[in-house]
Amino acid sequence: MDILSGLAEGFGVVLTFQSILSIIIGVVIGQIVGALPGVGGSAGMALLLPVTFGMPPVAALMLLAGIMYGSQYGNSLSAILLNVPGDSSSVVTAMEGNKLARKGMAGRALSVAAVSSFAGGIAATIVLAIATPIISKFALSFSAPEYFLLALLGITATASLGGGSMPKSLLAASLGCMIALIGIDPISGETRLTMGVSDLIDGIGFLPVAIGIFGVAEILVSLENKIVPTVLQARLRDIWPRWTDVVALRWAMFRGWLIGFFVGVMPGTGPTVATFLTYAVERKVSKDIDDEGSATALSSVEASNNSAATGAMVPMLALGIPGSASTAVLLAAFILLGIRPGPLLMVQQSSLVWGLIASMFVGNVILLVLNLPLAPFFAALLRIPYTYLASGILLLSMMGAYATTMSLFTVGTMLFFGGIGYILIKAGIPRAPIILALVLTPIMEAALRQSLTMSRGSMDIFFTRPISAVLLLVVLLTLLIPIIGAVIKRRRSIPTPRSA
Amino acid sequence: MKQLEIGVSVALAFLFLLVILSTAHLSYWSEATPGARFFPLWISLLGILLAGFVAWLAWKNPKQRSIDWPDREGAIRIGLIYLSVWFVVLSAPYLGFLTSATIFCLVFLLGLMRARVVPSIITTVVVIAIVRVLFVGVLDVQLPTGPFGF
Repeated sequence: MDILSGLAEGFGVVLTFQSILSIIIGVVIGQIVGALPGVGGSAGMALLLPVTFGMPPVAALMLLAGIMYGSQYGNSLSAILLNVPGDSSSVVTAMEGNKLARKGMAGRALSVAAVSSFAGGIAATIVLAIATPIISKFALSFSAPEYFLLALLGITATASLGGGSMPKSLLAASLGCMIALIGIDPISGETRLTMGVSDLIDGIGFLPVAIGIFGVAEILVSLENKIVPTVLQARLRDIWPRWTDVVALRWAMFRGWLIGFFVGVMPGTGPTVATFLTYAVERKVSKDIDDEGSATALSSVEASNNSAATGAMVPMLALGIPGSASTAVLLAAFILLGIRPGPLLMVQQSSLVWGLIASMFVGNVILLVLNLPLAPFFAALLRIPYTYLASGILLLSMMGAYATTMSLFTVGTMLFFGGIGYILIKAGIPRAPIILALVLTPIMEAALRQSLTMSRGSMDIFFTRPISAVLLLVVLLTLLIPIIGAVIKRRRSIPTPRSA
Repeated sequence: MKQLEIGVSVALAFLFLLVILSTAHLSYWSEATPGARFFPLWISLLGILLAGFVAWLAWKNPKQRSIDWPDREGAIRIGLIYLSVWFVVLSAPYLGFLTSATIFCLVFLLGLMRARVVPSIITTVVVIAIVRVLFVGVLDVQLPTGPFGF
């Protein structure tokens, strides 16, 4: 009943002209940035964050969340029509959807992707509405040690489950921690790591780093080669969803939603891991997946990536711990808009949280309605040579960074991190842990120092409190599981005398 | 790949070492509370260990993953694009942000990307108009102005 009354409160917030307009703008921008190769949802959100500074917080967050899940729809457009994934979560969509498009079924592939994304998004939002208040209520009993371990879990889980090399991810997270520590120590008031540069006394903001290592770095990589894209045609009448498809693909959507949501809820995983896991399961379960492109696989992974993007909102809203790069940007938006995230958010700002959840129902409906008739328009957008778009994106990146502090030093910082991001891409070092660590370090440091003050310097506080002990165990497991996995893999790869 | 991974790891290890040295004057512990140096010190030590481990893994790994470096022309283009965005930051206090941004757009499109003239000019006008309307008009962002007053 609490959930229903909360949702009613949320829809009361959403069903106003300003909120609906914010959602529409958010999802349309999300579709565009998702469709443009080399931009992606996280970078799009970071770029547009400064634009929301003058807006009421609820409308601003609805717009940013709209970009987040709207980009999941947009990703599928470039993946299917161009065979270029908008980001890593649509790699499988490109594999399966583009094969269908090459067989003359571009319209059907777009339709299946849109309907499946919608189904996954709506079902995941229902579970988000149920799970968030329950977890949030449970987390009200948390204190400093639990918060430290939760924030630490956010980082170790990203390193462990993020799909790349764990040592590299942890190294990237350490770099993110270091960037976050620059400036005045909030407890003692001493300046740290400023190297005598007065512009660094206030620290390095989240936005210049996020825009630099995601936005600018990706654009630089995209501009390495002058490739003229070949966009496949999709006829409007083929784009309308067929009821027979919806019925035939219902279980694929269900599997995609289920796997996507649970993977998305786990900190550090996100839509990319969810789609690959879903694809692996789908290949085992479905009989109609071949090398010619499969609507079943496409449906499942599209439901999965949207569901995972929504699932990542659960730890962010209930605990104040972002589970992915996109939710880290959303969390930063909460902080920049003067809202303190965490379990108390549900109590102190219930209309905001419920409004945000309700906006995701409305946003998914708007996306489905807009996605199908506007697909030819978005496809036309993909025909604009990237060169022309890149100049605008680079300038908007600079303006976005400038607007946060009104200082060119911040723009320089953003460009510096753009260069760092480019090198990290080439070195295969993941960038998402840097962003997560940047957001989580202030929480982690404050909670660790409070915990050690409470225990007079003893580490026992992390073992003696039951919830802390469980969280510590989970943190250790996230670190140990990949090591054990690597050891097993290595042993299997060593040929035994008999097999040799 | 091996050289780049080792190079990045060593650079990061030096960065963490620099952090340890530059926080030496801060308090590690004051009475019952961890001081300002406590967290940076532990993160730096962990960072040095991880950087060493990543470098060691790269050194020991027999499988070389090739890096998707751009060709010579692409590398020069990326270098010049990176310099041209820095030009906007460095010249904006003297020329004004919008003037610097206009020069950047034209240099980027016509000079570096060899795009067609008319679409490049249209793109520049549209981009500068969006920046002017959205950031200056709507968000009231005060941009550095130059001798032309914008």
